[in-house]
Amino acid sequence: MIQQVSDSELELMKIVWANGGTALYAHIMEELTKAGRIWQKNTVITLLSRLVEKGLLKTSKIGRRNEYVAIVSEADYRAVQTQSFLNKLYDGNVKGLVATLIQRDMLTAEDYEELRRFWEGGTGADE
Amino acid sequence: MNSIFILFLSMSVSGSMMILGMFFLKPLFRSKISRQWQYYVWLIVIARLLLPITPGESLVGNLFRWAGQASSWLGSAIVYDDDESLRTAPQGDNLIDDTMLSLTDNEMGSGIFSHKDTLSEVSASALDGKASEVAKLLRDGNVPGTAGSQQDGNVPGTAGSQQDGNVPGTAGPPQEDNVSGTVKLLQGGNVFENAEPSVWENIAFGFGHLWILWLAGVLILSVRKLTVYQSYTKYVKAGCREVEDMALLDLLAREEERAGVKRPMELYVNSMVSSPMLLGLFHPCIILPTTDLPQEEFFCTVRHELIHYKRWDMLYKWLVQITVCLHWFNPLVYLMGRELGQACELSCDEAVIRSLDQQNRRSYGDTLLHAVRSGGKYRESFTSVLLGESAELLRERLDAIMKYKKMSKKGCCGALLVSAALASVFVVSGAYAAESAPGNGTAAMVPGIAGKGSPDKHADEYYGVDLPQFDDAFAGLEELSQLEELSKLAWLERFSTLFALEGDGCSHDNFADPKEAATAPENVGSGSSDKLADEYYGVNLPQFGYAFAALDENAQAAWLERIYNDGEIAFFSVSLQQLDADSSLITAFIQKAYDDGKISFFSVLADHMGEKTLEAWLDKAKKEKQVSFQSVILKALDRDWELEALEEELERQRLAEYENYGITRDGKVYYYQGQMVNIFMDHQSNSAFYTLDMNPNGAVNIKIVRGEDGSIQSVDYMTESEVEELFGDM
Repeated sequence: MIQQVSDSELELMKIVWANGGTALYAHIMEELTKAGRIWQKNTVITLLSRLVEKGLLKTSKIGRRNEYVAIVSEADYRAVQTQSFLNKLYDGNVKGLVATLIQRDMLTAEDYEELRRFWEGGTGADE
Repeated sequence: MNSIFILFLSMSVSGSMMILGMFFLKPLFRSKISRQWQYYVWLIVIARLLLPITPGESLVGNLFRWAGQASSWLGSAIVYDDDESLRTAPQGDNLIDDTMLSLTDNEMGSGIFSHKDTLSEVSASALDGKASEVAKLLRDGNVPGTAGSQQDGNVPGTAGSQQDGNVPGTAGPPQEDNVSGTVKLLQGGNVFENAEPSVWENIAFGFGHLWILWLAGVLILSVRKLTVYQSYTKYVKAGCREVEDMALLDLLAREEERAGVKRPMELYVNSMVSSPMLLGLFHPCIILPTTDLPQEEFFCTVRHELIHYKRWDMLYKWLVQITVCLHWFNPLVYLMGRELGQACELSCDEAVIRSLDQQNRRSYGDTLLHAVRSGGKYRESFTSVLLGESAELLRERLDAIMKYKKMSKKGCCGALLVSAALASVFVVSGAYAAESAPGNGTAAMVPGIAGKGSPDKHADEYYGVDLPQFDDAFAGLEELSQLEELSKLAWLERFSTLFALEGDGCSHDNFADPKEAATAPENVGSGSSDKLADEYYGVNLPQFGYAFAALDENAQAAWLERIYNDGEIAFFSVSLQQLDADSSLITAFIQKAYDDGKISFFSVLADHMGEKTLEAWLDKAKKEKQVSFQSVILKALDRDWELEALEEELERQRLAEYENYGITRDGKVYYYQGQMVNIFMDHQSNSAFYTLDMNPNGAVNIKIVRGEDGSIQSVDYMTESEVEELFGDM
């Protein structure tokens, strides 16, 4: 069970994931600045420690510096989040989700074709 | 354990004085001296309440000593008749302690301990204290209170000149140096007959065990406070959500940086809490009732809580709570706790507004007001540091914000002055630490024993009887060790009312200069001597003596009759001092004492008889085979060799008697039917001796049962319960 994280926390997680699952504090600050986030040093530390608390990160010391290591991979995190989203909004019904995506043109024709082939290929292999 | 309780009690008294002082002075400095000082100055009071630091002589220390003396005097004066000796004895320390150990100057001139409490509780220091006092008295040979008109070498209430420590009226020979083991019970020890437990004794006993109540209170209160705090923390934390608003977090972070807080603090919101608070001792977090508040108010709140954090106010609060737990019996300490809570907030406010401009001060006040309004239902726990509190405090806080000004020079001086005053009260009030005297009469003990320290003043206390060379007397180490021996015997009190210790150096030979007596009647003052005698009877030995001296012969006879019947041997003795040797009164009473078999009275009277009369009595006693009386008379006549011969003869007789019953003695070791004896007890109920011998290597405990005529009836093994009774909880 992966705990819910706030948007700011997710942003930090993404930086860590993008960096291959580990990141130094300095690197995170650098990335945040690049992204136009001018957060206070202590604020970032607070967010990072919340992530540690929630079991998404762990810290390991490299010399005197703290390195943050992702315990949960991005794919796992997405899967869990999607699942919970699906359960919450569509009662676990994937079709409903896809229908919404198509109806609201959130899915292009090409995307849909790709998905269909992926889906049929998957089920065809079983038959 | 009780000494720890007494220590806290004394610190409570000291601390109370300081707390009261602070409350009285508060109106003077409230608005003039910085709130921060008003907050931290309480640390001196808390230190007084928690730290057993004390100068050798301190107000409360002396107060406790005095109280100890008074209570033990009061207690024992009713229990015992010979109050004078008690006045001398409890001069030590730790008297409120359950060691109501009194060395009394008894009629046998030996130390008698009356111990009214469990000996396991006897603290070494208490013993030392008393022992040294008694040692001093012994060395000086001047027992105050008994210093009436002394005839040479006779203790009033003393059977005779007992330089060698032998007990007159003792049929048995000396038991060599077996001091701690062998004691003799003297016939007619009715001075102490009334050593029944009295109300006072019970009070003293109760007081000795108050520490249990105290400790229970401390434990209950601590546990309660801890559990309340824990559950409160748990509930608050459970309802907490992390604040995700990055603007607020950044504001907090900036404030942290400004305040120099290294470790970022967690910021929570919990709509249930009544006001913003800081929770946790080592890694505290800030909990807000709501994040929906103007930025200025959030800023003020955060700044306020960070100041609490920076100043370690939670630690201070814990310290106060510990103090309250330990001094739970002191209502002033609770008041102090309340006052401190307010002082904490006020000084925190002060620190916040010091850094603010006029406009922001205004919004700080608004923050305080709004915090009260927006509160949830969770009431504060004692250790959370709250922003808003009761209306009364809030008013004061707002008032302080409005009137805030930097402390003037005058205020600084005032602060310094009050601090210095408090610090000196800290030292002067002191604490009553049971003097941990190292078993000898060192200077450290002197305050405890000498009271005011001045021999003259001390002498005053002792009814104008001079106590020479009071201070150097404390070095009497040899006496001390003997007295410790004596104190070991105190448990015997359990078993019988009176024991006389056989051994050297325990007799009071020299007493006060007879000249003292000449000045004494002045102390009596005017008024009827008979009335005075009545007043002092049973209360004050020397004064009674003086009053008695002023009576006419008929009145004296009546008094002697009364004293004799009451069995007040000490008063009997002091009265005899006022009479001429071989006076008709003495002759009358000696006959009476002889006929009644009251050997202790006889021995006191023997000191007031001429040689001729004594010899006549000796012949009579020899004829009637009254060995005990013979021994007393020989002693009074100073015919030591005859006495020794008599006692040796008696010893031989007794050993021969023992042998008939299978008891042999080798040196000091008794054997019963070939087995080495551990406890050997020979107790003649109506007679002159009581032998108790102990040999830790022995295997059996035996007692000798004697009949009315003093002959052995049987030798029994002591039962478990008898041994237990003898040793109590030793």
